[in-house]
Amino acid sequence: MNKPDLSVKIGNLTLKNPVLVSSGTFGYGWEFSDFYDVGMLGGIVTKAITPLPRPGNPPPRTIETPAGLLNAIGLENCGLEAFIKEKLPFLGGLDTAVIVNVAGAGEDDYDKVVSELADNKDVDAFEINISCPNVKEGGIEFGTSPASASRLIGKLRKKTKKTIIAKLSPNVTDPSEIAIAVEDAGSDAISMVNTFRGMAIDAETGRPVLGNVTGGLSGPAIKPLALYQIYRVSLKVKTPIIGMGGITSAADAIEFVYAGAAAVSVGTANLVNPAAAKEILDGMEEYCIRKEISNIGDIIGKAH
Amino acid sequence: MKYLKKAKLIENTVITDDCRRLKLECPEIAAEAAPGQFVQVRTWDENGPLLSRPISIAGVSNDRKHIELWVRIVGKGTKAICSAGVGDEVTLTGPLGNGFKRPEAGELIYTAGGSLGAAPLRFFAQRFCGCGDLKCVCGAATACDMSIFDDPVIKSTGAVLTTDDGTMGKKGFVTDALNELLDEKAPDRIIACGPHAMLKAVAAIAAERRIKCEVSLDTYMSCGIGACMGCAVPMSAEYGKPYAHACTDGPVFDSKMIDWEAF
Repeated sequence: MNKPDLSVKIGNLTLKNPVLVSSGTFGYGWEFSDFYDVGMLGGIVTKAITPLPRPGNPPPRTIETPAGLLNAIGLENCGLEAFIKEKLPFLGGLDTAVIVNVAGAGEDDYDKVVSELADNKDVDAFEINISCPNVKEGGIEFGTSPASASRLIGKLRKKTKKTIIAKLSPNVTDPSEIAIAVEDAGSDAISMVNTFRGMAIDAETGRPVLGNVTGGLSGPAIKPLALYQIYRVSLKVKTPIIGMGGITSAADAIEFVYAGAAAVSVGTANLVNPAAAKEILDGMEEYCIRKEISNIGDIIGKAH
Repeated sequence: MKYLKKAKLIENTVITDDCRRLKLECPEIAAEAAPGQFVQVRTWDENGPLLSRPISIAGVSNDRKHIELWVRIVGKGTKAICSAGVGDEVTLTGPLGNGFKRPEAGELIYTAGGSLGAAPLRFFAQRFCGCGDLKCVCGAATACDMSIFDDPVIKSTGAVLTTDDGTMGKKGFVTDALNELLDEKAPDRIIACGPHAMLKAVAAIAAERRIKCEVSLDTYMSCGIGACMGCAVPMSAEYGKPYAHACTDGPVFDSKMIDWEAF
């Protein structure tokens, strides 16, 4: 069989393959460039960018839990100006989609980052983070209310022709409501799920382990929860879904596609194995060849 | 350059009940490793623990083909690593982080190692033997832990050995022995690695005596390569930023740059 067609269209952006890397787990891309050509990926989603630099939360910021990782990094990032000067040139030189994750304390923060990068040739899309569980100003208030999610996405839609992806929180009663709201407001795609809110307590001291007290859970532990949410939301929206949540192997990624994801995003696995995303991409291609799937698009949502 | 490699385990030696000395074949990492750097270690697939475990490099073989790691079993990750058999493949990422500064000609350096914290200092002594003038103190809780220091490189330094309970070597903390050396003569630099409380005490001693001091820190760490920003270390105002990251800014830091009250 010839090489399968793994390309995916998200808004006006064509990804050469469906493997992305999740915001906050891949730095600004160059951190992984010693291990493989990161330009082979379908896209790189940057660390969340806010207008000004953010120092992040007090440590400890991460703790491993059974099959999972709790984190409360606190959106530490270099800020928009340093991102453009120091981080974006490397990303722009790669043959892959550059998706800037945008976070902020209010609508103006999102507006500032998107407006500033709206015509930047090195940026292909924006992932609007309305789901960070670890800082008050992490956009979660937009991610838990359909009305405010819709207003924010609608406002940003007017600022850019580039692809907009709304990153949804799983910490709501029904993520479909938010998904429908952002779709109606002009979001080209949805990425889900962000981390599940959780915490760890040290039995010896009786105190919370994380400096931020609560954190977001990621890793294999959340995979069945994420699969279910994607399965459910994909029945309700037409826009493509970028599926994530504990993807560690090519088989995991394929499961997300069957659940309804048009593309997948590798997160915590990058922290365990810096070559994880490459191995998953290679494995997805092998899977398609073995199953004689000529176009990955043919199996999206086929678990329904 | 950082490498992601499958390394063959050549030796797995029992040092104490809960400590092992591992020799791994990995020429790429061995060729570039510097004292104070670390590797991320993993022996499991998706059914094991999750994150790789950051371990200091304790030395490199003379032919630069092997690295040596000293590992204490503290949880399921380190237990799995220490259970690996000779011939097994161990996944390594490294060398990572920034090590200790190279000694300058004639520089007098005191090293203070607490328990397995002696590992990167051992690598320092091995690599820089002959450059500078090295005096070492190594401390352990009890005599049971002393076999950690039963090592040709550490012996060759003539290290002063201490135990907290006096069951072997000098009775007292490693900081007591360090203070005795400092009373005799002030060095150009102190380098230290060990438990948090010990490093805090060494940093305070160095600050009081106005001696330059480098400490190698241990924090919760996830990626080890600067991607996740998880291993934050609170820094003093002089550093210019509220946090540094142990994996890429450290794990070796100038002790006066750390905000020890917050850390």
